[in-house]
Amino acid sequence: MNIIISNSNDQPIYNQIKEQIKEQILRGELAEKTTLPSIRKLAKDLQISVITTKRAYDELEKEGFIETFPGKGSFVASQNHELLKEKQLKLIEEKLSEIIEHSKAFNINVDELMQMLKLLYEE
Amino acid sequence: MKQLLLKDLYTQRLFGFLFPLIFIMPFYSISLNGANYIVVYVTYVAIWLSIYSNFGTAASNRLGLKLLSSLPVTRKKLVQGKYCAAFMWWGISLISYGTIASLILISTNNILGWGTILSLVLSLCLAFIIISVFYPLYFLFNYQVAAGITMVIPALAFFGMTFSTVMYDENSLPLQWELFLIENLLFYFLFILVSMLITFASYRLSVAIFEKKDL
Amino acid sequence: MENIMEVNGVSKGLKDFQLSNLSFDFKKGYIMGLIGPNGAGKSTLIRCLMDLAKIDSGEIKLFGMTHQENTKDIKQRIGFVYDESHFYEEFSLEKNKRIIAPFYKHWDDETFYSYTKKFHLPLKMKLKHLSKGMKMKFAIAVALAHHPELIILDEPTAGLDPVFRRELLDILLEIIQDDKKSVFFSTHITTDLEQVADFITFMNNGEIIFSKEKDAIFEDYKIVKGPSELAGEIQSLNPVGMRKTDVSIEALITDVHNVAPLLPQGVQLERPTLEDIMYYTVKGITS
Repeated sequence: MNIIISNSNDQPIYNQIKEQIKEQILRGELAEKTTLPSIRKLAKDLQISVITTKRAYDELEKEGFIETFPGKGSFVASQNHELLKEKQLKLIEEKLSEIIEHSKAFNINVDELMQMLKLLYEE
Repeated sequence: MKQLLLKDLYTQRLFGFLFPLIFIMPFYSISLNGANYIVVYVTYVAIWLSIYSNFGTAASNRLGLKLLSSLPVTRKKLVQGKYCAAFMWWGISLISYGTIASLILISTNNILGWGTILSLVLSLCLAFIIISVFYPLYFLFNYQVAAGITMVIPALAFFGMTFSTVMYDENSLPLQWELFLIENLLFYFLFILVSMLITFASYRLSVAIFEKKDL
Repeated sequence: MENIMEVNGVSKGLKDFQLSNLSFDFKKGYIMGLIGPNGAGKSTLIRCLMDLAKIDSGEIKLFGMTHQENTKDIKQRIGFVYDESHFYEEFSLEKNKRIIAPFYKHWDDETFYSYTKKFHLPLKMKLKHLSKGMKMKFAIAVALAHHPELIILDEPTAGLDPVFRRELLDILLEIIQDDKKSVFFSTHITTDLEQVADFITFMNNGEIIFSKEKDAIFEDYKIVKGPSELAGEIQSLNPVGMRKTDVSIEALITDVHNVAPLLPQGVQLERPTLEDIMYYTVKGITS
């Protein structure tokens, strides 16, 4: 597991942790049942506060990405394949809508965007 | 309590231990004249060691008390430690007298007097009376004020005694003094009682002062 | 969750200064930072927590106990580091240790020497020959050597170089790997706390401005930046503080949830630093 915290990022730190773990789970880099570092250990490794780390884990648990067993620690939750696909699609959707927003701001129309996407995808 | 006494023993400066040696010189010559000065020596050195163990600038004393009060020990215990340390210093003073007396016996064959048990008790009482003056002042103000006021008393007494020995016939005064004491067991008893009362009152006063103090 | 520290309505009058009606709690297993400008009363509060200064009214509970009843037990479980060296300057570190160690039931020489080794402390040297940073390291080694449950540090990073400051943060985080242990420290170098503190207590003028979870603070406060023409509009929203120059304004707003929608067009919102929050709270509106 890799987490890189950026101070220049405007996102709160707990969110950065959450997003990065989520992404690694969706990409399959963190397999099911993988043990995650304890909240306190992760806080120490990242030199951040315990509560911040705890919040990231809490939200990941709420969204069903990880499971926490008191006294045992936190693990990557076993993902239902359809659910996983759905989550993956949702991630792509989020990223795409970000791109669309930028495109609109720069006056790039759908056709141009599609063309660019196709070109990049086939590369 | 052991830690507190150990701390006082550790923090006593070398000068504190050496000073009595300077003091022994005039005392030695007088003592050889037959007078029994063990009381003066033991008392004075005990007081000196007790008071000097608190030596320090106002700032270093404040920091020292701040440190001790932050350690797991009550303020009452700290004060108790100081009064108990006075016992320890008196004992050390007695031992140093014994050592010096033996050294002198070995090297010059001169015998220094050992005094009586009663005269030693008198010495202990005297030391505690003086220390009873010192500690309330120490906890209320600081080392400088307390030592300044307290050290004057035994110094005056000592010089007064030396002075009177020179003024009067050399042996008559101590002899009178000893006769007076032997004949007045009641006086002894009262003196011990009074010194105990003074010490106890002083201890309670020191605790009351120190427990309210902001460090 | 259990509170390791409870301060309820504590007041303390000093010659020309006053702590008034301080109240906050601190949960076990976390790091709390005490911030505030010089003279805010941070050191006085710490002296009250250690029972060095006697409080006039209110109540301080540590591990659920008060100093009146259990000061000895409390202090067995606290490791303290003060802003000035309070050990015996004339003696070597080793001798200082020999004086202090017997006071603690759980003193652990092995731990002590592991820290002195880690910090490269010369044990035989007299304390007075050490630099301020070295003295601080010695105090930290002593404070940690009896396995305290609560470590109280008064301005521990003052006088320390950035390298050791980072190391210290690591040590503090290492301590709370055991979730029964807690760290309480005061500082005016807020960047230290921005990273590791779970809770922040902010003092100014002998009063507590807030005592909260750090993440909540950053959600509650925002920096607003905008052109100077908008000064009036922003001021009408009652910012905590504002700094107006000829070319721009910068303001700190609180209660972001309700206030942000009312902000005029053309301003930028940014995440404040603790220093921003401290600065604007102390200074208020300046121009």
